[in-house]
Amino acid sequence: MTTQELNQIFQRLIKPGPLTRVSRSIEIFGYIDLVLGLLILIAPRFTATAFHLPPPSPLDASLLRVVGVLVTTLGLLYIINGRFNSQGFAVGSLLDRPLVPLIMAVLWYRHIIPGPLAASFSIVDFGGFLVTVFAWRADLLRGLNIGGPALRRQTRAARSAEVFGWLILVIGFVTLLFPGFTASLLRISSSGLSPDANYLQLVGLLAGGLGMLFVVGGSLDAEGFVTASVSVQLIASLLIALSWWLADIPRGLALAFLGISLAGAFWTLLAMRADSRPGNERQRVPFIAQWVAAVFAFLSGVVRNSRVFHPDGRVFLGTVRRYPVEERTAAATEGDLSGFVLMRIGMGVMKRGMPAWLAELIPDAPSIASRFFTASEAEPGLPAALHLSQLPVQFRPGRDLDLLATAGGDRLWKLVWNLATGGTKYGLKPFDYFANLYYADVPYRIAPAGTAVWIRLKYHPKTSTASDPSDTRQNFAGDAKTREQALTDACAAHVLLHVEVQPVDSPTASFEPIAEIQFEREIDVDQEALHFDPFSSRGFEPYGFFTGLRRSVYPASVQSRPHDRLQRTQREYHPFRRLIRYWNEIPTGPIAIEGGSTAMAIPSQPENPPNGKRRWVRFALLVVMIVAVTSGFYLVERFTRNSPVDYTDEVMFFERGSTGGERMDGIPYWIWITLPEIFSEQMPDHQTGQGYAAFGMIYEPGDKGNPYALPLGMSRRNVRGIDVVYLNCAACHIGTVRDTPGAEPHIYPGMPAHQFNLGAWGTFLTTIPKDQNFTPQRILDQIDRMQDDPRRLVPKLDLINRLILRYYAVYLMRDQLIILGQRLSFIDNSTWGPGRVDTFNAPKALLNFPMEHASKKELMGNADFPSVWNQQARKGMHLHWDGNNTSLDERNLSAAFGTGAYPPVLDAARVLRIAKYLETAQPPPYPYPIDRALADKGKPVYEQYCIGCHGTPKPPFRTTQVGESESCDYKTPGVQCVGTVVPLDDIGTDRSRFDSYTWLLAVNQSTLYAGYEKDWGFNPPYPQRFHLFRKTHGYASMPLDGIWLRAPYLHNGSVPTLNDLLKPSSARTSKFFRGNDVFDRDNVGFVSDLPEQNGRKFFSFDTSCVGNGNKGHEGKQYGTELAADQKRALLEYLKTF
Amino acid sequence: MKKAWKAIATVAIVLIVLIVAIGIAVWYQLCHVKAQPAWVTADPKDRYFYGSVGAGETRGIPYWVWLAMPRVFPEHMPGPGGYASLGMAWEEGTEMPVGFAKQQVGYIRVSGNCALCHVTTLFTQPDQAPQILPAVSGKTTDLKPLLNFLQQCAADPRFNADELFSEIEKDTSLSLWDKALYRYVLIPRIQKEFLEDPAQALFSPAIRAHWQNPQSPAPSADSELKVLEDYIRQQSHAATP
Repeated sequence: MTTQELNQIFQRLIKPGPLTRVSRSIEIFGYIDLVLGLLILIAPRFTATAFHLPPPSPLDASLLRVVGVLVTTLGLLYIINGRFNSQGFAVGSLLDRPLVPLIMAVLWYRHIIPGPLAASFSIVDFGGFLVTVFAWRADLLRGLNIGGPALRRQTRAARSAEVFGWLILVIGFVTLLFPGFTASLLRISSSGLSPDANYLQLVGLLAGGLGMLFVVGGSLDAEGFVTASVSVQLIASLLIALSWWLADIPRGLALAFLGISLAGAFWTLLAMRADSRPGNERQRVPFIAQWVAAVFAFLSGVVRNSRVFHPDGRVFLGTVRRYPVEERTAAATEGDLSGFVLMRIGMGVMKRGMPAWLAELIPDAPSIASRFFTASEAEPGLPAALHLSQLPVQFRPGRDLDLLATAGGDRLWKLVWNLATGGTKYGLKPFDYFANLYYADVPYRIAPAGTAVWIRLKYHPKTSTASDPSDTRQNFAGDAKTREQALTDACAAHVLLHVEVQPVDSPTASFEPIAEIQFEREIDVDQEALHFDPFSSRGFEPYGFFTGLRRSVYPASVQSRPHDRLQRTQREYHPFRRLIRYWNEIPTGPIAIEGGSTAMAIPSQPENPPNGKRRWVRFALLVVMIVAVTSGFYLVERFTRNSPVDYTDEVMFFERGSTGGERMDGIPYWIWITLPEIFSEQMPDHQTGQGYAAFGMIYEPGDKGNPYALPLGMSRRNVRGIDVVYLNCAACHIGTVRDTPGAEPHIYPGMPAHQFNLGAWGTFLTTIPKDQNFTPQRILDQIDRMQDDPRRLVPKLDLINRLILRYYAVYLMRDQLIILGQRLSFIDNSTWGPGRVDTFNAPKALLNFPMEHASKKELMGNADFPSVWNQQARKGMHLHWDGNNTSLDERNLSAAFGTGAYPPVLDAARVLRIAKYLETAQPPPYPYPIDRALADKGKPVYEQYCIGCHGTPKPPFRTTQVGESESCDYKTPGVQCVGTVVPLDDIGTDRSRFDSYTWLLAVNQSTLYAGYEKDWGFNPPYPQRFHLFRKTHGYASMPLDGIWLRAPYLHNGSVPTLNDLLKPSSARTSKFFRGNDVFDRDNVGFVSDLPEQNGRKFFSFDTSCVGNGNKGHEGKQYGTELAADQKRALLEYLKTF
Repeated sequence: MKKAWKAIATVAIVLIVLIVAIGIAVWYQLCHVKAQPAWVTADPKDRYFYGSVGAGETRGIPYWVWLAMPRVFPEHMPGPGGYASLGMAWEEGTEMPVGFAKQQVGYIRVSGNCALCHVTTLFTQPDQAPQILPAVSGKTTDLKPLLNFLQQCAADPRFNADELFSEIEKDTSLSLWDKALYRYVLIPRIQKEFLEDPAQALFSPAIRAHWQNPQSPAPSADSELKVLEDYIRQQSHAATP
């Protein structure tokens, strides 16, 4: 390779010659990739945001830069090859780009590539493919055949590019499949890789794709590809070196990248030098190219149902002379074919209109279909005078003998095998009609003696002179054009063919001629009308299996073919046929492109300007395509959207973070805020404009009276383009306290939501769907009235969401709420009041138990919301009021069902974040004055009476290991049994909650989360299926952290204050009011004697209702018999918890 | 000739690889017997309660259909409690009631074993979970309620892929392949089997024969069954004073 050549290449790159449209489309595609690649390279974080990828870590960002380099490289490869008019590369890219959407779909489905990225790759690649296809079509329409891959002998340089391709292909796919392995090889710490976005796998994927292009380009030895490959290897090395220097790419990856691409470039340069030495050419066509061509051709033959004797050959008239009998051997004394013959000579597989490059690529066998006939009307011996109308276009039984003969194998199976494997066996010479032997492929019996013979046709040189064309036929190199020319010449020279026979029973005997055919002239007949009928006639009778098959197949085949030229033309222009034949024909221009040059044709004349109408259609098509692609991309992105609103502050995340439940139970934001306005009659206070405050949901101080705000304990997530909201953990575990009736409330996360009336809220939601106003129209009207307010939290409804709401979402919500209401209907929530829930009848509804058959005593399971602080210290304790589970994780996931977080939609990472926060969340200290001296007096009282069950005031609540529930003896002084189950008879509290939880429920809860075996990050790796629910024999003893905020007391909230709890049940308040958040400092609890305050009504709690009993936790053991001053001291001490 | 052989070999290898790959995929998705988890076989009692018998020959109930049925058809249940309400013994903390073996044979399926009948449920305290022992008393569980339930579900017009999926989707997200398999193969097939005879889906032929004719000895020819039989005899002896 000289400097001058390099200079020429450079010149061509800068100033290319006239380009075909295909090349131009390839080049433009390259520019798109280049821009995309550079964007990723320069601004990885911006790209990640643009594609909705999770925010990349520093390591991710640098890997993303490598992705950028690879995409840039791809782009450059396309640009350079486009500029070189590299037809082989164009074909290669047409093979691999349509596969991209398929591969991306698989990778996206396997969670290897994020959806938006997969979609954009698919759209860009498939779109580019379509553009190139249209460009090819356009070139064809202009009579410009761009040609295809030629089976060329591979140069060393191309070989080096191919091997380089294989190398990175393997590396790439290994990285894609086993990213951990590559990471360890390149010393990339896998801890820095984010689990959601597998950028290393992305690098692998792109490297693999690049490798594939190198393999195809190198195998086909596409013109210009070698130069392009060296250039991009060098440029990519430069880019990687720059990014290593500037952007801190992992060293191992950068070095590996540099090493491989530089080595590849230098190897190819060396190989180019070696190639340029004379006499140093490679002699081999690459195996892949051969194989691909063979398979492609075979498949196309099968799929297109091509017949060996289809009417696309040329027809010749010949005279037949009986071979002199005296010169025959005994085997061939019979059979008389003398007269005339009509011969259709052509290629077996090729059809009219196939691209020329294909014609030379695919295995094909020449064939001769002949009709031997006698023409008594004509003067014998004057074939030239035979008129066209006298030719037997229709088969005349008894008078004509049709003989089908083909080259490439003396038996049919050999022929099929030959074509299927490349068409180089049995002496097949596709580019020379006269170097082949044409076998009839079926045996014949010849009357009268019935000698069984094989028949063949063979070219017979007239004389053996040096000018005989057969001498030069030893090498089969040639093309379709020279082949056809040779046939024309042969006809003009009236060459001879011999009809030869060989006895079937002596396969080693030689073929003996029985007749001699002399070419007379080429004739033009309507070949569609010329059917052959290769059955018995003129004393020749074919037999055997294949003949039998032919007999049954031929009539149908003849029937199905076009009857004349006109019909065939019509069929080919039928839209569907045309689609199938898209690649095979040119609708305008010369028909015989077969035989055209495989070399790149470059337009030498200015093309005809397209007329106005066509230009308009093209422009419209382009617009439609752009719109379709863009909107497709947008819709995919929109309907796969699943993005929750996150908060950096842990407390805020607890208050508003998502558990994933919105995806199951979420209510669209715009519906959520309109419901209290539309259905104010069903609201407890019948008022509008207050949001859900009437249910005791808590709004932040600034959000008071703002119907657009979300109360605390609501999370928001964009699911499929719709902003939906639903409860999260804090809904039931956040509360307020006021110092005085007129004071501003303090919000305390983690305390029981003693004001939130979940029952009333549930009733509201399950009642309104039955209201006549629950229609899309009414709801959309209300949204229209409200949506322009700047206080709204999410954008206004767009057209798509309006349509979804109008035709789908409202109806779906109505159905689901009605079903939910039915399932929950057995739960009587009228006696719940604020701050309470029937915890374990809800899972029965979830499991759809037939509760109409249930024992009445299990139907009421009222329980107070608990506080959720200090969960770390509760590990291993019996959780829930009856202590039915000992696992925090199971307890959390069980509670998360209440927020809609069913297993398929659970957002494990976010639930874990909340759980993590709660492990160490602390109760707020008592904000009012404490009499320290008095409290100190209370301490010994606590340690004498309470500590055995309730543990120490602060975490870890115990100094010894927690006792096992069955054996812990809480009556013995000094034994710490906090977090264990106290038998029901001992504690004596209301048994409804205990009875509501049954062992039948416990065993069925063991199926929840079944089928999930992946590790979701619970620590230790948690078997997802619940397996720790147990029916217990009493209620669990709880630590008393923040006990001042946990009023009313006992599991069912039946005792309003701590002071009351220290009284025997007979002296406790039997009727009080729940829901007031004004603190009662004397009795420690909330003010409970007022039915109404500041216009707000409270819930009247009747301890005589089922499930509300205030008995139990009394007697000497429980301190209800203490002296008044001891009680006072204990109360003061409890304030310090 | 050499060239021909090379070509034959290439095509043959490609064909063989293709056929083998497709074969393995189909076999894996429909027939591949995956061993039950180690805990099942580790303890003789667990093996007796939850181990599968004749995994290869039992049709079994597709797991997700088995799981969803009590939730989709509560009206055919005698009371709350899922399969336990049908009289099946069920230990707290285990996924399957006693006598139901969950095993992946291609897809995950549930089949009955010896313990489905030969198990004793002892209620020691009211409202508490019962104690569950291998059948020491010789009394067997009545399978009528279970089989009736299966048959009634199958006869219900709501026994179809849409209804079952609406429940299954609350428990898991099936892959596209599994969805297609359930919708077009497993659900129609199990419905047919339930309608004909639920026991044929539940049991291997040997156990089913024993169930139909309890007088005939348990089929102990199978070495696997022999182990279980010996185990239950041993348990009965231990319980006899």
